[in-house]
Amino acid sequence: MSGQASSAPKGGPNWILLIVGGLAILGFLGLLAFGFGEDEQETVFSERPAPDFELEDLDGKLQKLSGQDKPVVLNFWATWCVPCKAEHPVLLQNASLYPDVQFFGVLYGDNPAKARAYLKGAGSAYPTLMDPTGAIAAAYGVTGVPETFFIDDTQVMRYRHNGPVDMNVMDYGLKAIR
Amino acid sequence: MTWMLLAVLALSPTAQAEVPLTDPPMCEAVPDHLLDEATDDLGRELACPICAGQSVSGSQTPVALGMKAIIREALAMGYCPEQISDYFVLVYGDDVVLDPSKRGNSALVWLPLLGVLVGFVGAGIWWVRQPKTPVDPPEAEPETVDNEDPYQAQVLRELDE
Repeated sequence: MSGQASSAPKGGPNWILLIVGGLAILGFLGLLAFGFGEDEQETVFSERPAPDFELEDLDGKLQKLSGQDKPVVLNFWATWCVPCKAEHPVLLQNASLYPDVQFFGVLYGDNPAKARAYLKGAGSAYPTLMDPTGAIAAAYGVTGVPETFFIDDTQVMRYRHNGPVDMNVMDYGLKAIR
Repeated sequence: MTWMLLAVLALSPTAQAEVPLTDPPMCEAVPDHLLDEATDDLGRELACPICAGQSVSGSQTPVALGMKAIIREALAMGYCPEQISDYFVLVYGDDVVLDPSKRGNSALVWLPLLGVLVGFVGAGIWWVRQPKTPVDPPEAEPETVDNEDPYQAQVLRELDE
């Protein structure tokens, strides 16, 4: 027994290790709490002026955001994107239901000829813009398609949605801008 | 064919990249012959938002190409690299900067490194302050006489008799 007691570690070094370990754990927990605790992608860049654009549509007509006097729905899409095709009827329906809102599609990383062919078959109710350099997509912070932005008539972005839209998403976004 | 079409569109005046920065440019405009290099330099400091560990310069994704177009146009207009980086931080978040900022929430990523540093220093102090106990020489093993051989013992006994 006495041999065990005499070989026990002394207090000083253990305290140092405890403090260092505690700091490391606190730092890690802090990272978890503040670094990964919220999805900033959903909130960033809303409630700000939408980046202006001046792009040619598939019919060769120039379209500008700044010239619009009504709310805008801006939908980034591509023909190679299956969810984009799934949401297309929803967008067509809403574009017909809300003539007081200007809908635009923006072609993302795709060939205009393919887009024309697709729209010929699937139907088209609003202009599709070409963004050949991808600069407009990057200006809006698009990371993939489909992605839809709801911009009010003062060109302030009110809502953005990653992924395909459905009627609920459209209701929510349109209420924010109309 | 697709790329030829895209190239033609990219060269047309209506396809010029729009610079979304709204503040006035704060730097000298980068001249044409230095634009590629300057774009590449800033592109190396920014992460492609949809790639794993790739910079904007090293990626050919549509997002990275779009970012490069904005960088190039903004530098030509006289925007500072910091102004352009700040815009992409606004759009894509802090993670778009490959060298994490040492302020705000981003400073937290430096904590583990600081913890490791403190740990090494603490371990060093602990090791230096360890009481140096004298090392006892190993006890010499007692010499053993190999007289256990039963055959030899029996021979010795018989000789004695």
